Amino acid sequence: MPITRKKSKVSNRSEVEEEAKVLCQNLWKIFGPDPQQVLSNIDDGATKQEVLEETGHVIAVKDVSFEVYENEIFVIMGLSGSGKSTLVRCINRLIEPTSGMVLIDGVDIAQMNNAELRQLRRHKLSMVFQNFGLLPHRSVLDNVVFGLELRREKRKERQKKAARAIEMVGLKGWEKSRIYELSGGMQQRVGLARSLAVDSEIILMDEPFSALDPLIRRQMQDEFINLRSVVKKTVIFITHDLIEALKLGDRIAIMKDGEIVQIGTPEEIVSQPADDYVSEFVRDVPRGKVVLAESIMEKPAVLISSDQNPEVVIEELKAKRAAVAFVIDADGKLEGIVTKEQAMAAAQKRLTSIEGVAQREFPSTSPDTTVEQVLPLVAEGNVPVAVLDEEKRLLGVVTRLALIHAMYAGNETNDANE
Amino acid sequence: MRKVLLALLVGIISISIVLSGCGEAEPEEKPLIKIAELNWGSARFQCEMAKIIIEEGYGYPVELVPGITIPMLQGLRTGDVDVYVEGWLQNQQEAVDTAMEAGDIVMLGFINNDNWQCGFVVPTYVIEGDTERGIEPMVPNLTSVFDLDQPECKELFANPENPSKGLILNGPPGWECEIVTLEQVTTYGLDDHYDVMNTGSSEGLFASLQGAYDKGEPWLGYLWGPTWIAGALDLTLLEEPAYDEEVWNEDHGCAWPSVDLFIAAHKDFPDKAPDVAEMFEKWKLDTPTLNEALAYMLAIEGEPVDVAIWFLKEREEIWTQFVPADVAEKVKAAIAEM
Amino acid sequence: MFDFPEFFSFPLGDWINITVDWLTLEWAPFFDVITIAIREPLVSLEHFLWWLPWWAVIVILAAVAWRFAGRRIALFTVCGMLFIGVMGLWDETMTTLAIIVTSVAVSVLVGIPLGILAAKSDRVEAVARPFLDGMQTMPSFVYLIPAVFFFGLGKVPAVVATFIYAVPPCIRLTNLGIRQVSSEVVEAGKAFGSTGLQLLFKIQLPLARPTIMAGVNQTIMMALAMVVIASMIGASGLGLEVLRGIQRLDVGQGFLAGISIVIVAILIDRVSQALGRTRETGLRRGG
Repeated sequence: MPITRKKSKVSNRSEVEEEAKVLCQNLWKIFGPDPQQVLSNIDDGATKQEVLEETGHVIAVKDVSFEVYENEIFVIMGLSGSGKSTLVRCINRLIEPTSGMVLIDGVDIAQMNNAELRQLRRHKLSMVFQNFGLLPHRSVLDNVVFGLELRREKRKERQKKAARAIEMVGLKGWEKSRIYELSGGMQQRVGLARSLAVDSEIILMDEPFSALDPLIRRQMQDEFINLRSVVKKTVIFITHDLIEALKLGDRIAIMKDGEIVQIGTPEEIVSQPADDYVSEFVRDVPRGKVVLAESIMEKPAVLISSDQNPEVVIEELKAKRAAVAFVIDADGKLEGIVTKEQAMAAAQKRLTSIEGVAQREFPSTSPDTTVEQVLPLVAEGNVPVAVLDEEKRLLGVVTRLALIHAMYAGNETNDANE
Repeated sequence: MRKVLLALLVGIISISIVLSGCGEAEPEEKPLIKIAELNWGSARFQCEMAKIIIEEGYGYPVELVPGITIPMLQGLRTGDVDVYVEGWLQNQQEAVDTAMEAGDIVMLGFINNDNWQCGFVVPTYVIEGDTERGIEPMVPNLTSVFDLDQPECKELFANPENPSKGLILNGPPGWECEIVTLEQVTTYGLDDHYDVMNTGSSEGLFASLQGAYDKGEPWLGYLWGPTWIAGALDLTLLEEPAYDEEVWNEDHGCAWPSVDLFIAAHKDFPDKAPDVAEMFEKWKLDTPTLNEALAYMLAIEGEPVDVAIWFLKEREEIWTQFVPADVAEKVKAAIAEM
Repeated sequence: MFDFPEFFSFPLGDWINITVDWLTLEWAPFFDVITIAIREPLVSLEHFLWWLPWWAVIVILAAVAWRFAGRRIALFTVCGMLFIGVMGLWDETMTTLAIIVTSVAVSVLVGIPLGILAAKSDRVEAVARPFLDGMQTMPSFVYLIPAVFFFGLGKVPAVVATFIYAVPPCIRLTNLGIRQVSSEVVEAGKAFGSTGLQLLFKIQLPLARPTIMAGVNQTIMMALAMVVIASMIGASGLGLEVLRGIQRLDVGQGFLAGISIVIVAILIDRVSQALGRTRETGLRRGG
């Protein structure tokens, strides 16, 4: 029973009938002592809350259907408790669905026996976890080979594949490190490498970047996009972050109380929200009311300490094609900024350090400020706005260009996909 | 309401004080006698019997203080206990001599010295078989300790931890007999053929014998009488050269002398309760009698006190010899109701 | 009317006696197999320890202590073992060591698999719990005597009695350790296609290792506590020396043997604790 659709995203734009890579149909998951009983008596109109009060059963996934196509990033977005994590676990049967069907390449996984299911998980599906799910007693390399080890591949073979995956995620040189020696971002790279190493066709990603710091999170998103251009995979990506969904997803499914309320491309989600819930979600996206400074901030191009020689600063600025250098102390606190002009003036005066010319007044904001609120700061001055945490440490900078992009992101995301 | 409760409480307390006062005001108050209750069956049975006779016949309150030999002998010296029933004189000769010389204890009497004391024992079926249980004789020609070095004996009693040798189970650690047994094994020339294993406790030794007996398996070890197990099981004592003091003192190369089972008391006891002291001087129970009592205890799975009551009822001709007629009558009257 | 009515009583004690008799007679071949399985390795180990020169034993123990527990414990090992030798308790200590090692080995071989079963099944855990409580609180004399019926006198029933007393923490902490493994790591194992055994050996056991080792450590300590009691059914070694000292009121001898047990206890405790710590990897950052 192949479900087909008109494929709109292939590069040649030809109208091809394509079989779904992953298909979920009328999927239910009810938690409680007697889910089948509850399922057969369920009243279509009853809300999750009503069912809980009446029967003591929790409906985690309610009559969900969708299909995911080859090499697509399908994002399932919802707030916590919306059932998205349960849903993704139904796809590899970490959780047994109460009813409904999951087809992978047209094969019903509910009919698989344990051995077949194991083969499916070993070869076709891999998974990346929110808190990484790594083995703390193993080194980076030994974590990455894990899936291959389970498949009982030859040592030589698995080392080769693991080395390639480690290189892809940029962890070359860290192979022997212990997991607890790594930062969160690096740990998730290990998680990613582990799933890349088994070279599965489908990767399930359960909020992979949610546990990371905002700046790292964005960096990981960017790298993930880059990675995707090299390695073609079908990805089912879970997130609670709309911006992340819009940024990464080819198509997005929005979940609420176990149900999918809308499936569409980012453009469709933003421009034609299916109901009030979705429109509330995306209402502010184009106007910059949803996008936060932390989501668009970038790494400052030039970071210096206050005792730096002006000549060096000028060279740095030229090399990075930047107009402003940020002066930070040993703790990463922002002390001031130095423009190219100020640095040149200092050099002419033959000062040995830029300390005297550094500008102590500068535009700054907190990471949770919306883009809209940052706008006036950028407009007023000619310098990027510094994003500082509560300790006045420099988290990143918001440039004028980034701001303009963000303001129009809602209208532009689909352009990137067209 | 509170007042009523208070009055009630005061009433209850005063009544109990009056009642307890009544108890103390008995006419002739006699001192408490403490008897050391040594931790084997025959001693415990005799203690219980003595307790009944002394309490019912003589009217002294009696307390039994359970314990093991040497600490109890120490307690006797200091007066923490008054009487020490069924000490085995030769087993603790040194300690008893010391205490006597210091004048801390006095010897009241001897229960018997006709026991087979200690020796090497096998279940009788090992030699004779047991047609009822379908056990063939295992070593029919085993009669004395000197037969033990025959290969078939060594093989029969093989030490599982060292199969090239046989195994003789010894008594509990720290007992005099443990050391004597070791020496006897050497003197009889058995040390090349047998390992000697310490059984840790009399309970361990008995359990081992009982377990082997139930299964009809060979068993060879040290045992002493009177014990309940000697009364309950059909055992054969292996022959040894007859006791000879000279040989004994040289290398223990003969049977044990029969041991004197004694009753001792703290030095002040004959003054404290002269009538009871006199009873203990007459206290005589031979080994078959004790074994019979112990076997009865096993048969009814009873406590020593049950055996004491049974004995007082059934063996009047024995115990009435220990006491004056009036005391005997009082005891008879009391046990009739037990 | 205040006494408990007698017609309510029933002869449970008799039934237990009958059961024990029945087991003694009818199950003898079964117990004989267990006896041999315990006795042969135990005796070989004991003879090996006796065969080794005393200085070799000290060197080996000290090296192990140094490797896992550091220099101070190694120094303690040397001094403690020399003390034991000077006190004339060397052979007894080797015997005790052989009994302890065997008891702990049996406890671990049985305890860890049972702990794993309990971790895998709530029902097994629920059934096991009262038994474990009973094993830990039942006075050991109660099962010491049946142990003699079944296994004869000597080291074998001592090992069995020690096992009964010492195995519960091993089962409990294995169960706990496995249940405490982060559910996400277990999910990760399943998601990549682990079989049950792969999940167990590659994820659950390695991550539960510090907890399991804590259980093994407790088992060792409880086994040492049983040394004296076990000697009452003929297990030779330091326990017997303590018993002999007590029986003779020879406080000095009792103490010397007691101190030797303490030395062995401290030595094994420190080394086994250190074994639990080494490679205990960073559970600091979630896994």
